[in-house]
Amino acid sequence: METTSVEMVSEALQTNMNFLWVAICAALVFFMQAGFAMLESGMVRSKNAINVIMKNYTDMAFGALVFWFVGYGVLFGTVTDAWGLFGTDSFMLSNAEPWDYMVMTYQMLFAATAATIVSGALAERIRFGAYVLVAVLITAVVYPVFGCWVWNDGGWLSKMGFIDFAGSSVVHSVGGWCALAGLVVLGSRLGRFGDDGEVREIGGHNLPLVAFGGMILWFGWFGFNGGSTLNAGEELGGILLNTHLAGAAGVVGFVLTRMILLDGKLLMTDTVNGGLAGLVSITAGCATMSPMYAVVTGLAAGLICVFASALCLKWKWDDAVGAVAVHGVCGAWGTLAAGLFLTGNMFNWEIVSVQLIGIAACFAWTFTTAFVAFKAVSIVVDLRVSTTDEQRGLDFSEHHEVGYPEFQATLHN
Amino acid sequence: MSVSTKEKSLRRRILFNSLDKGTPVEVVQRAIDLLENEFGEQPEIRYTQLVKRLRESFDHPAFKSGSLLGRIMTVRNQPPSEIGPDPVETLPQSERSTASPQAPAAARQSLLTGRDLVFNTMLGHINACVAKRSPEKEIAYREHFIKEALKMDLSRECGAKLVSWAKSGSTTSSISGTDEELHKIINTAFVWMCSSFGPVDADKILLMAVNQTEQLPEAFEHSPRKFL
Repeated sequence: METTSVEMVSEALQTNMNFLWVAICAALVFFMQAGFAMLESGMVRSKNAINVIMKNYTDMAFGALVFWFVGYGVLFGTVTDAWGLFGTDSFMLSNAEPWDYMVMTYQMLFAATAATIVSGALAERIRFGAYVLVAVLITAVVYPVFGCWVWNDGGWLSKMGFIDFAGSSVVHSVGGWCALAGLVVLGSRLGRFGDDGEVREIGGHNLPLVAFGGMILWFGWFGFNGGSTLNAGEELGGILLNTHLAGAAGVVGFVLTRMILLDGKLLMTDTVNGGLAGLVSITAGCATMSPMYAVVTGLAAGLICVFASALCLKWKWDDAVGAVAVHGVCGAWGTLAAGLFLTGNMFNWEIVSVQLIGIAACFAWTFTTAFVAFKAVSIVVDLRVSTTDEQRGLDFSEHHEVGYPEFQATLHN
Repeated sequence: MSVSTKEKSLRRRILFNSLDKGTPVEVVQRAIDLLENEFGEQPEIRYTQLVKRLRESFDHPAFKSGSLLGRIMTVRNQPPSEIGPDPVETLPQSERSTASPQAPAAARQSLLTGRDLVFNTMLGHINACVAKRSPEKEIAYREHFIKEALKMDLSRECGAKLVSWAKSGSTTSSISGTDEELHKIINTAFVWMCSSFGPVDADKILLMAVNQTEQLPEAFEHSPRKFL
């Protein structure tokens, strides 16, 4: 009798601990929005800083409602089709169990993360209204459908054994490939590339803000990966250690790549991106690989990030913050690494091949649907701002206020 | 018997004010040149001949329209005082033109006041920055304006003065227009600077030009920023 009572208390305590842990992690993931806002706004010119922050604010707000309305049901609802494509219930969740509310809150913030990755990449040229429409489509369709394939028990990739613990593919690659589709449709900022292929740097206006934003993101990542257990258990130790090691290895990998293989220029903005690349890459396998391989994964991500960024520039994809390289490419690498370095079953071709199928499916689905979404939105509203708006800055032209009125001269007053 | 200066001016005014308002500046310029060169010394001008020559010489809808002759006749029948301005006052001067020489640039500059002075000073500062930044590109910079003038939807007078300034190579200009037109000119300069120097340098040049222009007393009342 006493034993049963102790077990009940223990179980209740564990349940409450789980609630508390996921709630804390949800708050940490929410705080990542602040990190994104700071990092992205710091990386653009002062005349566009407010626009970037506005996009972060509003994609989170619109995304939350849209995800509650339709996204959660598509992602976690009962899959009724034979192919395991999307959920068909749990829309506008109400009268549900408290735990369902908890999971929805947590997942809602993941969806916002996927959308907000796009905002930075397309900074300084996309119309605000058009961006919000695209963000709505991402949180309503693009993200939840792929998430269903991976995280819903009835999803086809889930059934194949695809590993993506906290979303290297589901969140980060989806965000990165959406950004890539936007870059292809929108084109580069005025004068970013010379006629002879010369790349003109467009430096950010506040680099300390970039560094601080990077640190906030890193801080939030403990909630992003740690909370994905949905359980306050002992496995957290390994997950949090792997997360931190991979982030650190990403920075080191970037620095070494620059110093040994390239020109030795150590830009702070790129270093921050190196850390983020490591964090993105460990997100898929943080619960299923040993710390040694978390380091390997992060180091490789730092290297991959450098070359992926260079390739983006070579192909004239004007990514204002490096989102395609960091989130898209390193997300794909992390997903592959989760298969390669799976503890107890490393370098198993069957597992790796499933990971490769998932990576390809992620790119094919996300890029195609996002491309269609951008094109569709461009039919309804102007997608790109005018040259006048680019000259004046989107803070003024889109929001009628500027971030730094004391010294901004490109202001119509 | 030579044709008087007044009569030549009247003929130019008749043709200029008969052409469709949307006729590009350069086309108008060529028509005026043809009038001057082929009919300038004829004591009696036959407008049917003029329209015929225009159609033969230029493949442009402005001259194909049968109503051009009708409009010329309508304008010609008006009292001279009611016919619009002489294009010599607004259009750029060509080498063959018999138009009276323009006033020296500095003199024209000194005649500008208020908003026009602020704008033209700012354009001059931008031009000086471009010339200093990359002297070999200054010609391309001016040619860009000539090329883009037709696409900018400027009034005929504003477009003509812009083209005239761009062709002249002068450091000073006397362009006037609405705020929107003047903004379009600055934006055209910005787009060119972005493609030639990159967006960061383009921003810097505009900022520098604004700061320098704000030294003018007139800039207190007419901020150069409104042209940005």
